[in-house]
Amino acid sequence: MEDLVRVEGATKVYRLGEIDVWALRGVDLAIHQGEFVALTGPSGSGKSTLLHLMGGLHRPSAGRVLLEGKDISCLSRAELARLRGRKVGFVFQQFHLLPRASALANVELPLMYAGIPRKTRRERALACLDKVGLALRARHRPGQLSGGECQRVAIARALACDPPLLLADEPTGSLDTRTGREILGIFRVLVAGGKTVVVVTHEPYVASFAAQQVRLLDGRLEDGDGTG
Amino acid sequence: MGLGERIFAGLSALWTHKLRTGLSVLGVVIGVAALVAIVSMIEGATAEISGQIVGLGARTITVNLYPTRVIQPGQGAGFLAEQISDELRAASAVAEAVPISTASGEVQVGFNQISPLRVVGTTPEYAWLFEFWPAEGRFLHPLDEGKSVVVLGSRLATDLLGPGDHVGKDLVVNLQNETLILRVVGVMNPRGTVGTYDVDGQAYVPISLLQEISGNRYFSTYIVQAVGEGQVDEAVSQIEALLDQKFAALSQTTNTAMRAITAMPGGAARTTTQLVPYTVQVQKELIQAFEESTRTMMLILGGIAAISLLVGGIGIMNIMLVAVVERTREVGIRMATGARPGDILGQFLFEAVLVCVVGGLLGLVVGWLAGAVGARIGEWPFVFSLLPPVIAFAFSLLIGVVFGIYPAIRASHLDPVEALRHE
Repeated sequence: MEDLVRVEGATKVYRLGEIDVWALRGVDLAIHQGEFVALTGPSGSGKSTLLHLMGGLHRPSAGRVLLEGKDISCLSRAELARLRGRKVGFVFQQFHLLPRASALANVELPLMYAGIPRKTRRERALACLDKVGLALRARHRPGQLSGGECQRVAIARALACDPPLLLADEPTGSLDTRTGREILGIFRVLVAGGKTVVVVTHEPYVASFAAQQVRLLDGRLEDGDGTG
Repeated sequence: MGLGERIFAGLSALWTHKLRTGLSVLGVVIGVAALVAIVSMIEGATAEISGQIVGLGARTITVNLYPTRVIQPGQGAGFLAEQISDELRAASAVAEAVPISTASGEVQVGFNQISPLRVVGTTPEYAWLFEFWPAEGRFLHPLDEGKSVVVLGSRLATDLLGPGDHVGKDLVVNLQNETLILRVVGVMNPRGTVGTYDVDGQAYVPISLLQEISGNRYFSTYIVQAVGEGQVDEAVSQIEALLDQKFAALSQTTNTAMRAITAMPGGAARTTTQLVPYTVQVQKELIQAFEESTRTMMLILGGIAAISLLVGGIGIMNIMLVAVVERTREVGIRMATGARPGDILGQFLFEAVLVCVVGGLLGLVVGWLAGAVGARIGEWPFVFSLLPPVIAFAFSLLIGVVFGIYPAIRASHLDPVEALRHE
């Protein structure tokens, strides 16, 4: 199977005032197309940072990240933005929907930045909402939707540009277990449909949904072997 | 993203903070309105005043003599009014020259009511020179010399005698402690003001009548018309030569005069009246001087208005900086879903420009209204010119870009992950 994501010796150092914080200390990881991977580990272990690196929200301080065989570590900010829009879909714990925009407008956002014309954009956004079972709620604002519904809208948004890779950062963290399982069910269906999903979590039941588990500790892979 | 969508997105973002947006728009409205109103009012006033000056004719030259500066009263038979106007008229570049003498008096209205009256003594050529014709009766005639006749300005006629026929009626006038009965022989057409003269409110009598009353045979003011607009300078030098010669002849008899004339030759005498025996003023120069002063006024007032617009712009920058901080998470969300730094920059810059353009358009309307009100109060025409809208639009666009760019750049430089964590 082809490697969709390949992380080679990735290191990430943040500067917090005078102190250097080592979030990642050299991580090697390969994720194949169609895999469902759970990144686990205690808080502060660097799992979110690793996810951000894979999605082009960050650039590594050292090492490389390859997406579809292409090195994305030294892309410009604008090129990274383009990549995030087309190759990656993000799902966050806090949903991160625009509060004043309707569900439909939120799903249209990545399509708009990808330069899709308005009519096509609307059709595709509606199709994505339909996929997560929210076609009838397209005109509702996030404030009028339940947590689970908000997360479905966020998933629809992540799917809007039909990216190969979905990255979810604690997607069930703000939801009760039952709703969380529904969300994970959607991910499972997507993986079955050929998408690659990486979920960051510290809840064992979430990890159990994933086919592969990668555990991080203090910025390193715990078993030192993440090639699945 | 199309322009329509951008406008809609910008408007809806601004709409969520109506009061705040309204206040920043107000800053621009005040600046632009002040600018537009000032430009409009100055243009109107300029049109009015230069219209008056031009109404006097570009060929017109005003000659003022101050013979008492160089001769004793009773001297100088060569300065008789008729003689000077004949000599001026004889110059090749001069078409017409009329003496003008004014006196203030009173006119009896009804039994014992009196009202002030401004009387202009002149010759029949006055009508030709100003192309100023009677509506009723006739203007002064050469045969009126010394006779007690009067021609009334149009407004004066109605004020004194009411509507209807005026010719043939008599007026009781007090002039220089003498009471005269003047027969109305004509009423002029309405003309408004010409130069600084309120021609509709004056009465015209033969200059010989005023001479008789005052006992003063030399008059100080002559209105001269050059043959053509191109001959104005030539006429001026001919007049100056003539007057230099006349005053030089005089000074042979008076020692004090000699100094005054040699110190101030005619050419320099045109701009200063200090101790100068005569002045020659050209309308063109008056117009130029006037235009120069209005330009200065426009710059000063326009500068003040521009400063208020600048203050409005600073207000916009301030509010946009606050907006960027408030909407940091939104910026993060947009970046995570594929917005490039340029998209974010464009979004915030567009909002700032939108505030300014809306403010600019409102300010234009308010400024025009203020200009129209000012025109009514100042009684000058309201000039509807293309300059204010162009200035308003260009300035508000410029202010929007200048003061919107820095907040927009800050927004576009945000780190997506940190922006998403922002509360």
